[in-house]
Amino acid sequence: MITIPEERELYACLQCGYCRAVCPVYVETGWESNNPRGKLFALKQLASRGPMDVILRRKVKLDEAFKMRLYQCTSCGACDEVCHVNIELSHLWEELKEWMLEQGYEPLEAHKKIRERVERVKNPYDEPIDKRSAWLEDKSVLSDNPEVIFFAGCTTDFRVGIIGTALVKVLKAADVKFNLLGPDEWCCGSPLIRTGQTGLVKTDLAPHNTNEIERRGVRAVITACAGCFNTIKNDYPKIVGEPTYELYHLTEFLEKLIKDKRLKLEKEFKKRVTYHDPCHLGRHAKVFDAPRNVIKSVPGIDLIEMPHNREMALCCGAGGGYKSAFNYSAESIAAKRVEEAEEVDAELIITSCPFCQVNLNAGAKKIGSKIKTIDIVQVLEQVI
Amino acid sequence: MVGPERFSEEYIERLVTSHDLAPLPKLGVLAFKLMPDVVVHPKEPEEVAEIVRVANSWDLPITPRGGASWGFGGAVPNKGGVLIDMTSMNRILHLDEEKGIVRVQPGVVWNMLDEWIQRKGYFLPYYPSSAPGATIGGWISTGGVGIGNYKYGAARDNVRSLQIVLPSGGILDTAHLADSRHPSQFDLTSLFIGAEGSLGIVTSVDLQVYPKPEEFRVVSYSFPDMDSAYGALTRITETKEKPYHVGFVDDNYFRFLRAMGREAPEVGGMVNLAFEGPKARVEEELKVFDGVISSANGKRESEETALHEWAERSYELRSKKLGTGAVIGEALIPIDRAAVVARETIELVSRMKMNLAVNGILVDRSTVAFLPFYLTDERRWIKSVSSLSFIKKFLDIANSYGGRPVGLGLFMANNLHSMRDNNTVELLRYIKDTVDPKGRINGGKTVRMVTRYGIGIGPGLFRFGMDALALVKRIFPRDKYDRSIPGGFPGGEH
Repeated sequence: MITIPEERELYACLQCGYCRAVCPVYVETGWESNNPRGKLFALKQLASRGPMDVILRRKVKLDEAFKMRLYQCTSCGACDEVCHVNIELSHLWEELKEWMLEQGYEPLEAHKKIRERVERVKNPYDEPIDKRSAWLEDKSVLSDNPEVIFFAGCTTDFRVGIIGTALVKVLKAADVKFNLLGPDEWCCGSPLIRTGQTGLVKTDLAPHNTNEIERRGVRAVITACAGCFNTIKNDYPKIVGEPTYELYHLTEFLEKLIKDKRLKLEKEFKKRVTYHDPCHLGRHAKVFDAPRNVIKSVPGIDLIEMPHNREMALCCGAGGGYKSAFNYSAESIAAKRVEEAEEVDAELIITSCPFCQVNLNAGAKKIGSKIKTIDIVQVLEQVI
Repeated sequence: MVGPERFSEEYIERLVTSHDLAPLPKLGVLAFKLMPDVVVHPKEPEEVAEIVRVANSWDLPITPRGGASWGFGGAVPNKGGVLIDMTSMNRILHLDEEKGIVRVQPGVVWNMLDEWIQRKGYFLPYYPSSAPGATIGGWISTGGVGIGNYKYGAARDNVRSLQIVLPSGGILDTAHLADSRHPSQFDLTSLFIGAEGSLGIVTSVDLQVYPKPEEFRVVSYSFPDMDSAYGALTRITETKEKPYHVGFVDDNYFRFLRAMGREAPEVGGMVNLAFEGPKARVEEELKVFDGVISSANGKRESEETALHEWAERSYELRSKKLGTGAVIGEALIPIDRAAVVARETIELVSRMKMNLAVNGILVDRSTVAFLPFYLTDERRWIKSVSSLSFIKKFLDIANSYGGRPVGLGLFMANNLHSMRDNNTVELLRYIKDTVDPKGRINGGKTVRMVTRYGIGIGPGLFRFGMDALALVKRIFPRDKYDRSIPGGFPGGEH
């Protein structure tokens, strides 16, 4: 009989279905097998053998259909928040994906490609290593004796460089000495961990990135990406031990700069905005207040919450490898979030994750919404 | 009808819709064909009607399914066929602000409607304790006993009209909106409420909503023992004022939680009240009940405790992980018999070598919804299956004191005989057979229990089977869990 990791969790599920209504993939597709309750029930049934199975010597048979359902998940963690019996579902999904791959199942094609690219060029976008930090034209701003390292993340480095340039302006205004890892920065490993392909993260990515940071002797590291932040904060310590540096998400660092009066926000930003909590920053890393405090510090801004916020914020649909494998559905999920912003008459969505930003803009385009999503630091660069 | 994207014959989809909350063993398939042959997801009433007509032409049984958060098999096929998953009918259609009536599709989850209606400035005062998962249509079909019933009545009292797809495939509205509060003919709306989806499929619901109250407060009172707590419940019902909600949990409920490593008060029982209305009125009511309950040996707990207990009202089975399995019984019992039913139920579990906790709510001045649950280990299937006989035995106790099960569904349909006299049973069956002559929609449930082979299981055979299982359960040693229960369990070995 196959031994299932966390078997107790599997049996603990009450099948109450509280996870159904909050699961973005289920809400989008409507199929019971797509929600956490359905997945747990299917696995329990597939893997447990009743007396008739024993008599008839029937073997446990997992299948491709179940594997597909396991990957139909954005790793948003909303199910964790509502679980009747406190099953750590996000953790369970990752364990189960890893376990299925150990049983000889292949990851989805899109996810396999991501792993191959990360193995080859250390980023999931298949971009050349030396293109890292290409968004920074003036390298003279980098300090040899930095106060912080900006761990840019692959999406900022290769897709949304404007977040990097905005941050550089803000750091300069606050007189913060900083540097980048540049070509020494490798993918943090988040897309691999979320899709069950943790091997490379354990053997290469986590040790490499940690060494590169620590050998520079800095006391602080900031990330603009919620995925990188969650991975370095919550996954790296299990692999490489506790860090010698302090990790900040960009929003936490900006909050500190504003509080310490190193960063002055002088110009007005007269817009009605709403804030989208990235799942990996909010639910997974519990950073809810810092981004809101930063936004509220901007003169003239009107921050209005969407109906679902903080712990119960809707997912943008991009995470957990979902966008790379199921892009159409991921953009539909994003569109629902944009509709919530429309419901509260927001002119702009502010977020703090480049991956959310990309997908929310794609979602808005899909439904013809005029609402744009920008990063918090892109607002700050306009008001310093 | 529906496109291929909302129709599935895939094994995994049929598998995950073959159950509800009840931990039915795999052997259940010997009696019932629990897996549907196809699963469909309609979005409009006309699609439901078309599905029913097609199923009729193919002679296929039909099972409508909502949130499936019940444990009596109402949403589970007994003879395979077409499973109509109603959860894709999840739109809130219209709010009539003048009449305070909201029209919703049946697949809307109660919590979602509650959030939405609050944003519109209204109050949805009645909902199931399983509101985060239960659907509007599902709860209404089971009668609608839950939070807020004490003041606002059950869902039954707040449904103004239903749209139903009949077993023939026709569509009807049970009331005209203009006279929905004052039906002049048979009250068709009531006919379908609590019918457990046996007379037709609910495709839209008109619900009464109320203005948002000025004040909402919760308070908790602890008791040295449950006899005092039941005494307090009786006194509450004798008081002129009506709290919005009255719930209670026993000492074992907290013992289970402590064994889970959670903080829980070491008290003999707890009664939780909620009040709503104008601020001054709420303050007045609080004073009244402070007096009433302190004279019944109750001690008012901190506001923090009260808020916590209120927040946990949808999470009464947190301790399931302790045993890995939890089975809940549900019965409506006359309030003056609650203490004796509790006592006899505890004696029953002691004989069956099980551990049990009780929670419940007052549903009106004379009735308490009594919800005992036991923990079991699903991985030890003989012990686990034999434990299921507790539910039948518990309902027998409830019945002997004038109580009745909250619902029948598939697994408890035989209780109809002990609940109602022969004439009533005959009339109920006549109504079912007239509306649905071929027993197409949820046939073999609610008014009679029928297996996959079309053979009925009579009450005698059912009782014999349950008695045998109970006997098996008593042969095994007392239930134990991986984690011990601090301070032990009354009558137990922990």
